[in-house]
Amino acid sequence: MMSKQYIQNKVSEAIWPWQRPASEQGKAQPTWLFSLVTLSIAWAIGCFLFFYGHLTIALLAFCISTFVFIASRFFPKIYAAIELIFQKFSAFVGKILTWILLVPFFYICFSIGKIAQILKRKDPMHRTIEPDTVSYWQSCDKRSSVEDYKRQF
Amino acid sequence: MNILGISAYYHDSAAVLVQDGRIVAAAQEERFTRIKHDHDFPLLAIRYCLAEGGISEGELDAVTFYDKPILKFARIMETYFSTAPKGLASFMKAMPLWIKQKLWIPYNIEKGLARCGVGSKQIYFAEHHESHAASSFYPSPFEEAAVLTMDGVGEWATSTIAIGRKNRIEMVKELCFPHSLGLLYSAITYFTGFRVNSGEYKLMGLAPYGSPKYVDKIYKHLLDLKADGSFRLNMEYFGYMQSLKMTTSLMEELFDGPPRTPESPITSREMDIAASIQVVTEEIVIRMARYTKELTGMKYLCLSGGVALNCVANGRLLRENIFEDIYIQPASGDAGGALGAALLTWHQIENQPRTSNLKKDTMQGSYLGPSFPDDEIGAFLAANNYVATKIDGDDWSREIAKRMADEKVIGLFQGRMEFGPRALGCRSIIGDARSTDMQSTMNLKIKYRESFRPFAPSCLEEKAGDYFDIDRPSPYMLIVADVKKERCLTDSDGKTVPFDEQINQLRSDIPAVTHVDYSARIQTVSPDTNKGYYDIIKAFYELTGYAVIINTSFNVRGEPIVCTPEDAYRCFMRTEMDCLVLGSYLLEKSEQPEFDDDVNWRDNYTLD
Repeated sequence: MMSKQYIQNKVSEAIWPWQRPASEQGKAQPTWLFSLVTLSIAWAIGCFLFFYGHLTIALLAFCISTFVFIASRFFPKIYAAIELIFQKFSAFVGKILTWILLVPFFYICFSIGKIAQILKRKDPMHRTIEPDTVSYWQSCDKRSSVEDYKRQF
Repeated sequence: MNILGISAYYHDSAAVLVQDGRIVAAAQEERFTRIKHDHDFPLLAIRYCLAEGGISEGELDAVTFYDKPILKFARIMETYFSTAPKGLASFMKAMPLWIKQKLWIPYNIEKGLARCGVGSKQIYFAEHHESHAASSFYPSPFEEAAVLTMDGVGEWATSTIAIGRKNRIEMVKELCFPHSLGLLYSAITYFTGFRVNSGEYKLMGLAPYGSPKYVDKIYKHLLDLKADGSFRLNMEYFGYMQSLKMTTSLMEELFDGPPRTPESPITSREMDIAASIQVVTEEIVIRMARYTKELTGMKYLCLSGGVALNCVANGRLLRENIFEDIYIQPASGDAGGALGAALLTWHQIENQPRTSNLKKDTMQGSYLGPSFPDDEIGAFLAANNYVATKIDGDDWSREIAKRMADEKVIGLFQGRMEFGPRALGCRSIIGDARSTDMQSTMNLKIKYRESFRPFAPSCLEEKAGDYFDIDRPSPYMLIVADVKKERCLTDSDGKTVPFDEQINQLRSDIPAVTHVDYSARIQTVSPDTNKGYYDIIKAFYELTGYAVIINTSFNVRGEPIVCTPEDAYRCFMRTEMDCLVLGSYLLEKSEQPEFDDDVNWRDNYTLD
């Protein structure tokens, strides 16, 4: 086949790996090290629970972690599904935590700030229309030293 | 010296590589990920740029990000201080992204570069509008020029005036958030039922169908416009500071009803609103340009920022003759910020000289993306058993021209991919501009988009004056000019014609590219920048006597422009295109094997 003889150049290979089988283009399987570390952590937690007498939960931890380990090594499709479920679950937990933390922050912090602005009669957004003003253009106070460009502000 | 410019995390992420001041590679991330307006870190675009420049470990000298994230964050915080207790929904949407990504940009850059196998010696941050200004001034043919940038918002600035001299840019004046011409236009885009940061072109295309009956109301209620083009918006009508909506209920009173529901039928109200906001936008741009001239005394003007993609306003600006000439950055949106950031690093930070010749810019026709050799295309086609004929030499352009003359629609994929929103003959769908059915066919059967949307003409540079009222090249499709009067057919005696009939009305001898107001968004093609495309139009001219063809981007609605031959083939098979040109290969739809495709492929693309 012509495609097997053709060797892609580096640019093309970087952005269009059409010669690689689709299975290789997907997400890589976790490394042995990653799988073993994950298993060890889960087993350490299991042992800890076992030591303190939580036998059922410890057993559950042993079983689940062993199952995930085996799936990660020998059943990539099952592992991908497990990973997806974990991802969705963690995204859900993340969303809940975000709301729990940020909603009070928003009302406490910004409401106080708003009150301070009202008291100071300051509007950084310059929302008032000024019919008598000739121009709304502002002068730029831009500095352009090399040090300024190294800063994010 | 190798400099990488990056724009990311808002919309249209991109990467650009500049080597010793020369633009070597530039691409938007969306082209590789196939997610329209992708805003994520441009990993694949960086990978491409590094490969194109042959950069390996230790060879990247600097990376410059196109804005200053902490300044932007401060502006967003100030906005919430100003709008609290309103603004929770917007805050909850924005904050997780800031916490997760946008506050860790140096770390994200280092991590991204490490994944590409390189590191950078230095990371710089330019201001958003400074990046825009740099993107238009440095590649321009002018030694010195005034620079006007207008977009939604960067850190604080929404429009700026700058002076470019040799290798330096000095920012002089600015208008600040929330008073923004870009956001005003986007708010109306939202109100008329189109998608913000994407549907602005549609609003511009819709404008000629309406009459500007809301202009007075806009001036009276929405903004206070000064003689020098500066303005303040009446924020009671706009919701973008405190909510996820761009407008408030007051706008409904002003425009006689609620916002149009996306995808619902377009009524004359939306057309009138579009016409009105276009008039107001043009007036603001003209006043700003006049003030820029007065302030800087410069002969030339460089334009950039999203508003500079409003080619109708650009055409008007040219006709006003405020400046001797204007230069508009073809990638004027945020993607172009990556280019500006990289060039700014070379000229302003590294203080390297700049040359200009008053004739040619340094954008290389904006053909700065990847190209694929014929050998590889041939191997790909053979590997998949796709049927193709290789055509070499002059026959290549003649065969394509012949098919166009037979009213066939052709997907054209050749040379380096364009940088910026426009397809300029390397990733284009082309057809016969003389055809009366072509606009409807292309819109409904190939692009799957709204039938009113106009198509742009590509014309031989030396023949442009024969078809359009234009006296200079327009290589980037950024200027709208009228079709020559003698080519236009008379209109319908002032009678009100229904919308659908207006679309299909025969307006000139090149009807497929003549918009309802007898204008066209012109691309002039020269052999210096795109020999292959020039040859096709030349062959079409020799065959038909017409040096003008239709050019639209090679994609369907909601899909980014195709990048690889595989993308092109997929798009070709999904639509009713007749032929596909992949480099030297010509493919006929009728000869292709059955294409195994996802029946719900359209669901993959969010409608824009």
